[in-house]
Amino acid sequence: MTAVGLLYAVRCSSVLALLNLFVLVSLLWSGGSALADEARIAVAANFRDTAEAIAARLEAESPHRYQIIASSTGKLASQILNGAPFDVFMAADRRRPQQLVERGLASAEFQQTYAVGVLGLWWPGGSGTPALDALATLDPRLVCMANPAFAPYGEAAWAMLQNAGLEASWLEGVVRVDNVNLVAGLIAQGHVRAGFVARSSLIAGKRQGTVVAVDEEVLWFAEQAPIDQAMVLLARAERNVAARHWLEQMQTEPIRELIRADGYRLPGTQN
Amino acid sequence: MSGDLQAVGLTALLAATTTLLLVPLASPLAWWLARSTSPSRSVIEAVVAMPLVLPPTVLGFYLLIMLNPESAVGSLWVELTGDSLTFSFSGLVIASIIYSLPFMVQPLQAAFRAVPESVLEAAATLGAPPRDRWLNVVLPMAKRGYLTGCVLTFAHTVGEFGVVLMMGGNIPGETRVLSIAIYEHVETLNYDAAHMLALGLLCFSFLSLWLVYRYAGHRFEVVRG
Repeated sequence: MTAVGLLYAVRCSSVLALLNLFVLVSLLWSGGSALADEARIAVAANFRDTAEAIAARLEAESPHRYQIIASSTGKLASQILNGAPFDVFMAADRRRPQQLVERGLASAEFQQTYAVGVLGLWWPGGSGTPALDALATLDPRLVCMANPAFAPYGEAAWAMLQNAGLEASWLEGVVRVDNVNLVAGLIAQGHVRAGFVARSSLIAGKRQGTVVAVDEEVLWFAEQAPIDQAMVLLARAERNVAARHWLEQMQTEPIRELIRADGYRLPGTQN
Repeated sequence: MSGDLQAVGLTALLAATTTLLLVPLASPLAWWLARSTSPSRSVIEAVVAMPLVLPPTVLGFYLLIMLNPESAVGSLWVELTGDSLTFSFSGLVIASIIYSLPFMVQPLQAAFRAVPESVLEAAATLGAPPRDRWLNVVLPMAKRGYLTGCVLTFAHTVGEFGVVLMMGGNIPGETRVLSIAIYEHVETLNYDAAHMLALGLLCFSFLSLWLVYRYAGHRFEVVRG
């Protein structure tokens, strides 16, 4: 059994050496990804395609490089709270950016609404324009929305359903998915019959040829439930030139036009 | 497409780093588990095997709490490297080491247990020092255990999803591994790309397991039996 002790000694020193190596490798690795004119943009899932288009445009016009990371607003916010290395947060609500500013994780400097999303109820194959209260005729498991717990579009959809006076037991049965982008796909493929979509998802899906929605099949809630989407510069990116450039460009006409073309309304305008 | 290649490269790097670090970390542990008669052995064995039955979200949740920049470990890491451990490649390496530990330890333990005490005693009687006994007796006899452990660890790390979802954050080139890339392709209705990656992983999993059964399976079974 003395062999065991000795083996331990030999092995332990190599463990220490390897741990050192690990620290070294991860230092090199993390150093490589943090170039000064690079920025990581965390975007709400509904804004993914638009953000990719904006990134392509800004990359063509400037030396900056952008990485787009898309997820639901609530998940991104909790990742930022847990130390996720993002530089800009393009949320789908105003509440979460505000919370980050209050906690000192984001700066108020660029904090403002960059787009107003439009929520809609898409119910293909029904008779004419869908109506909220008619939804109760469907099995709730055939109705889909983003999870209200962490997705602003889901939160808005939930509020619309409650206002429409649908029964709580029916509401409990509605399918809740990770983010609003998934809803359009699930309807298009026939997994569910109706669902609460973002106008931007339908436009992006149409562009890709994966989703085809006819105007009469969608009931829009542009006035009842406008989704104010706010952006902030995150604390770690205070001196990140690329991140600041991104936020400044959101105010320029070409970028605003891009956002509008993807189905959003612009803050302070009517269409 | 280039994004997918990056995900393949990152996944391979994560799996290789995890495997390379686990060999020296798991060896003494597996040796002790194979030889010890201590009553604490079964406790340690259970702890090592836990990732086999724990939902990855549990592991991911605890790691998120333990490694976030406000925690003791996380803040120390931020001081040392300037970067957060959560949502980083280094954090994923730590998570994968814990998550794949049983896949390395168990085959090694079985292989070490199959090395007869008498052979080691004979080597000692013939004057072989401990280091020599380890390198020339134990290692060659446990070769297949190492092969099994390395292949299973590598493959299991490649297949990681839940833990990465909890503390990875889908950052291209940093934490966007294959399983996450597939998830995102499905989410964006990009089924062609999802098919390609999924089929690739399917073939890879089969090949890894076939490798284990073809070259190490027989021995592994004898030891188990």
